[in-house]
Amino acid sequence: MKKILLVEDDPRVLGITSMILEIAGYEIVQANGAEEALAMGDRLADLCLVITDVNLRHGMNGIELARAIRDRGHGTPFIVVSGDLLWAGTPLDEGMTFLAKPYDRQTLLSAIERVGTERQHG
Amino acid sequence: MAAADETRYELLVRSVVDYAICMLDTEGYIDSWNAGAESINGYTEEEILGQHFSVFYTEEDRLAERPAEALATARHEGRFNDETWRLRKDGTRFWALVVIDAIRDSQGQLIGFAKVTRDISRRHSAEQALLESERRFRMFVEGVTDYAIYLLDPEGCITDWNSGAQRIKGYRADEVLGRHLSLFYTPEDAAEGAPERALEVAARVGRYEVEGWRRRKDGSRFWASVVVDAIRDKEGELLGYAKITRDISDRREADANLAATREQLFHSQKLEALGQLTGGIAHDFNNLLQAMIGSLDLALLRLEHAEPGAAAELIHDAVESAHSAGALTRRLLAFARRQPLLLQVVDVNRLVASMEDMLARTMGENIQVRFDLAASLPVVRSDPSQLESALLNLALNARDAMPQGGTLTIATSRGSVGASAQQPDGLSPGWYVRLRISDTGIGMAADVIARAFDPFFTTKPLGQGTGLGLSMIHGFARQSGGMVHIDSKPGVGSVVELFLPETDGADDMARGDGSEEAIGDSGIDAILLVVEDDPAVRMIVAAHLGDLGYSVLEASTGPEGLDLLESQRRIDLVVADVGLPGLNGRQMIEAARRVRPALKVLFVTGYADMTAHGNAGVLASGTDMLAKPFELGALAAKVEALLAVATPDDGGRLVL
Repeated sequence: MKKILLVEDDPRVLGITSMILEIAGYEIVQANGAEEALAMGDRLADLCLVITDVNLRHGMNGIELARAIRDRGHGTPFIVVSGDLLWAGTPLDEGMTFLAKPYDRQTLLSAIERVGTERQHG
Repeated sequence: MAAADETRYELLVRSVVDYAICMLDTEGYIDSWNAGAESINGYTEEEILGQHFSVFYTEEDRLAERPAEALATARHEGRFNDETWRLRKDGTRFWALVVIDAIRDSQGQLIGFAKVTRDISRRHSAEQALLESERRFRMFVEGVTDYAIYLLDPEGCITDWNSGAQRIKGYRADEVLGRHLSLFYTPEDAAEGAPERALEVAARVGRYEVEGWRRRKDGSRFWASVVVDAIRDKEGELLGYAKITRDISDRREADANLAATREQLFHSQKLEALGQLTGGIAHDFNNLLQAMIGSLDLALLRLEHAEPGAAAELIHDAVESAHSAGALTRRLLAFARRQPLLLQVVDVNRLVASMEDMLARTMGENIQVRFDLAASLPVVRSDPSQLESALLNLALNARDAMPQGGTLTIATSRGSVGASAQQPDGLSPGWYVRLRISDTGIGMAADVIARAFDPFFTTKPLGQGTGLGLSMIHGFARQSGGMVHIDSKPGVGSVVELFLPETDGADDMARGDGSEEAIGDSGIDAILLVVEDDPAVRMIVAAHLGDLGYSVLEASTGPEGLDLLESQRRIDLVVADVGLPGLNGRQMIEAARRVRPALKVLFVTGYADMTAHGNAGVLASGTDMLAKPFELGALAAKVEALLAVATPDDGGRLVL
């Protein structure tokens, strides 16, 4: 089963997104912020994707989190999600896909699929 | 004159030292000399006797035959007066006041001249110095070109005009001397009497200063700084005015430019702040939309799989999120002052207690939440939803200030503000309820505290806060007649205190605790509860009492009635059917009186025997009975009578 780390500080969004992904057949690991995500250690090893909100209440933002995870040697792709563009000055790295909030179920699922396909072909 | 007298007179003359007194013969030769003459002119009597008096004259005067002229004048007119330079023996000059009298014998025959000379050099030089100083001052004033300096007579007509005045106003002296100063005013100001007012003020208080538009000769205007000084003599008589006018159009323009620059800066700050705000709102709003869309998407999926129960739950979640979004816009509107506060009587302790669970949950595991609520606390007049949001906001700030965990303490207390006591700024004297939120977090530096209430000021990263929280709370507290006070030490923690003025609340319970019905504008200020299981009877009773101007609440069962009676709603009187199913009317009232001991009740009963107990001895005060069937008039009379009974405590008040 494909494992996705979902990082989101809004519990409502975290809950509903997890449900959508679980119904779509993914295994979901939840984190409410960068700190919690990074504390997962080995559990990050077999991830196929990280979906993270950019705007996390505490600590580093989603893009910084993605870099930190990558620096630990995990080569997973990222989907970064945000409902505002206040971080727009921060460029996205290669392997990061942006998804604007609010998105519907189909958009989310196709984004995940596209990332997976690109990975296979790239 | 006797010889002895003459001798004495001569002695007197000789001894006078302040005046040079000498006698001349008819030709001007000196034949007597006194001590004063010796000290003033420097000649001894032996040296000077027999010499011509022209030795005292300067060479120019001698060449101009002034000595002869003087004697001729004295001879013809009896006296010669002069003020002029004279020579001493050593050749130095002195300024002399000279009087020469012709002396005649009893036949009128000229026998000589008496000459009195006074050295007034000192007075003369003082006068000269004054003249010189006046001349220099005049040159200075006239030479000043940056200032128009001119003099006015007491009527305001120009008597003196300098070059600065000419340069600034464009008139030459000969064009304006004698004209009234209103010439320089704009027609509007002149018509309004501004020139006269300026002179009047200057005359009254000594000086008048103003900035305003003035007119040049060519009709163009300039922005002038004007000072008018009244000039008075020693006796206080008004001699006129000195007026100094500067053209400060340039400075004014510079000021205007500076103001425009500031405005631009402020505008760009506002835009930046707006960006911050918009980002923050977009973030919050999109999260809510995300939750809604996600829930609805899943609900659709559930419906496709024919799972309506699960779908309904998801739709319910979506509705909840939509409500949250609505609350967000309401808070924004309230902040923008587009939505007035809904002031109600609020029990702060009760409000805090109702949020205990939520606050504890929001704070997370690392933060201990302590409540320290006053045992008894007066009510305040405030907007409960705003107060709730303020408390939540402050608690969230506290949480964010304690990333490593800590203690959040929420305390209530009562305190007074005296007229002279040390008090937080801006509070009028009186009693206040204090809501205190303190944390053991990172604290704030003084410069951060100073800006904490500024709209859009935030220490949080871009997008993680709108910067409006404290500013909104500040505005809310002000609107409630109170204030917010922050105290903080870096590394120790922060204390935010919210002061809200007490109210007795007597008139406001109807609007208290979210009860939304307004009291009818009939002027009858009473709220009645009708508890009756028969819908027809209930409707008729309620309608009739409503027609009489009372506000009427209705309940169809005992428990339903009791619910209302146990709420904080104001209820002045209950009209209760005794024979209610389940909880009967008496039981309901008994239960209700535990929280409302003075509740007034009119029992309505169909059982004739019940009325047997309807005497005052058995029924508690504030209680009456009405037997079915009854006339509506009797009902109204009983209700009115019961409401008129004074009770020690307001029966409608909820007693906690």
